[in-house]
Amino acid sequence: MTFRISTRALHDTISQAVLDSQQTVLQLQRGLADGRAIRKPSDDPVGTNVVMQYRERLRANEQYQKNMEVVLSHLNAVDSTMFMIQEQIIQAQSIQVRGADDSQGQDARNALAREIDQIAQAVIDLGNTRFAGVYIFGGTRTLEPAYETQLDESGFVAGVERNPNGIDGDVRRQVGRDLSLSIHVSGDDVFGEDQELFQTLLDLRDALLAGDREAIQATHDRLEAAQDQVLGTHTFVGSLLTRAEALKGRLQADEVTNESGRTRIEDIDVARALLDFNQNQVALEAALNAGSRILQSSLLNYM
Amino acid sequence: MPGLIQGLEIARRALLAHQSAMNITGHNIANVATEGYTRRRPVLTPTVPETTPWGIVGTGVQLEDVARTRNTFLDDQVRKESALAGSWDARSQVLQQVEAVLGEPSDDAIAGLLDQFYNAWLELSNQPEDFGARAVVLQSAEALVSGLRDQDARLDDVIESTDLEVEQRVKDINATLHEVGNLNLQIQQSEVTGSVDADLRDRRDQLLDQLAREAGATHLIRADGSVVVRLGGRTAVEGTDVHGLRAERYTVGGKLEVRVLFESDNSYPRDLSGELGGIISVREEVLPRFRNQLDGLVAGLVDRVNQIHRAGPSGVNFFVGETIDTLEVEPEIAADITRINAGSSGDPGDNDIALALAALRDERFLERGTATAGDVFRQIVTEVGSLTRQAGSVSGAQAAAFNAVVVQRESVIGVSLDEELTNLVETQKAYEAAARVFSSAAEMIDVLLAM
Repeated sequence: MTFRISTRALHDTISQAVLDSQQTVLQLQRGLADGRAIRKPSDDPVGTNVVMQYRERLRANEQYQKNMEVVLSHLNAVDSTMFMIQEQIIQAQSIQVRGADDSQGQDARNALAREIDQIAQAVIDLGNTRFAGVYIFGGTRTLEPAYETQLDESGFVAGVERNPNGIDGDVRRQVGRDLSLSIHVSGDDVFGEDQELFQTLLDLRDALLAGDREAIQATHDRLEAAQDQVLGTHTFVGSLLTRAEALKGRLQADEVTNESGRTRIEDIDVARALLDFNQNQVALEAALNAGSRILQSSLLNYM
Repeated sequence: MPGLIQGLEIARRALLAHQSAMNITGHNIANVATEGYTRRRPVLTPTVPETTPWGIVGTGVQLEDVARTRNTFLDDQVRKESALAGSWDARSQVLQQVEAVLGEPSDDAIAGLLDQFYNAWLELSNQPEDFGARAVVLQSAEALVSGLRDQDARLDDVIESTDLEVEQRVKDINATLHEVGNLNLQIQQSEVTGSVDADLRDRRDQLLDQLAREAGATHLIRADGSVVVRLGGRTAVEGTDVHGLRAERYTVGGKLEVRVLFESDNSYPRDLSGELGGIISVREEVLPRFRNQLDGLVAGLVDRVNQIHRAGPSGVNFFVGETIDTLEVEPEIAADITRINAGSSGDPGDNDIALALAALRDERFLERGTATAGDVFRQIVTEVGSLTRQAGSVSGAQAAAFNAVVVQRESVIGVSLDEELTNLVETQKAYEAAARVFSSAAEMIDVLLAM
């Protein structure tokens, strides 16, 4: 039996071929228009799974980077506060040396004592440094001053009391999956568990007021020890900062890796898509051309 | 003289036969674009010959039959492929709607909202004492809830439109079954003379094509010309008896479901195929499972979030509701964001609860401790994506297979204009020649009479 081609089948076949070709071209055009290879899960189910994981990681990464900025600015605030505390101690040390000099009269020592009191107040204020609204040395009691000063009637510091609720507690910031940094620097680590720094300054002031050279001399080593304590903690903050900077770099690198992974799967390869588009366009033109010629040829034209 | 008269008679028969043949060709040409039309072919046969002393002599031509060029084998092939193509196509279309509901991959759909929720807790962990960070947590939780609700509502829309579709299809199928029953009777009555009523049969074949596509119906042709239609594992049409379907909506566990039954005895059809079968397969297998998975995900998340959150000083749950349609942020929290716990000690700078809630992003607290919420959601999306893709590609392959057999059937039943024109010329020439035979015979009789 010879295979007959009915007129209807001829028309249907031609229009189907043209429609198919048009659909392919349209699809490629849409890909080129928005640059996406995966517009819905069925475009590539396996790819969708991978892309969604990349997107999850990117969204988490975005927040981790924000958190890292918070960590860095907090640590920088702590860092510069530590610098200021150290400067105050250096100043106190030089006053101590001058005060220990026997050529100083009591008037001069009284003046030095006032200066030391100012330094003590400044150091206590630094202990109550607030950054972004929170007391940085207050542990998790971030809204209460870490240290309370009592002044006597002459305006001198009479005593310093640490927040009775405590200044401890872990202050953690999440900066990565399974990676959190403790950014808490306790006032105890800076000023000593018994507020030795404050006490030394107050003792020095009182010794200067009393003109007690022995007592003045005795604060020398204690100031030195306090300076060492601050320096030690400052070094620790510095190393935290270095680590945070390194982690920040890693987070940025992760972002780049994940983004390029995502785009490789989710977005089209423009060069290839253009090539495909051109090829399919040629195919469509050919289908239209051939179709129109076939449709026109009929025995009727010769009768 | 009798011989010459016989010549006139042969010519007369030929003129009549070719005139009829031309009408048939004309009818074919006229119906070149008619859906379901089967090409007719004139069957010309020599008339009964005459035995004369000088041998057996032909007596001319007659139109014996108008053949309907139909091949039941190809019909069966077309209908089988049509049922499969219809089933996969319908399945693919419903799945595409489900897939659109998910709206992935994107940062604005559920997976993104879930991450925003986790990120809000991280934001709060950065500033546990802050009022604004709590507002962000509340806002992100409400966005997640409304995203889930919205998705659920759109899924409901898909289910609703699927159910309406099932009902509509069942109505259409019943109407078609009844029409086939009627045609069985009409054809029997019309063909009582023994000749085939091609137009009625064309109409019935078209309906059988339709039934195959709509529901995967198969059929047998009886000797009396009637067809028996089988559907869903039982006889749906026999003679004029029709057993139609019935769609019924019912609720189970608060969820609206739909089922299709036989009208007469409420038995369930087996192995429904075609478009109806495709729609029902998604409606019964995919949609409820997909729903359950989402509900399970939400229930697990709510449970875990509440467990962590209520350990804090305010002691309240964070979410209320077990399923998506009842899910909301605890009203006490929505009314007073200071009830959001950032840390368990109540210290303003304590953030352990916020950190624990943010860490849910990577905690495998679902599927018996094997998957995170993100994993489960991604799994749902990937599964719907795979099912949709599979349905799409099988549907494409089936459509191609269907088109191939349709072209094959068309090659038998379809009208070719070029062929008909050829036939027309042939018939016309035969008619002209017969007329010439007639005039020659008449002239010969004239010659004889003039002697």
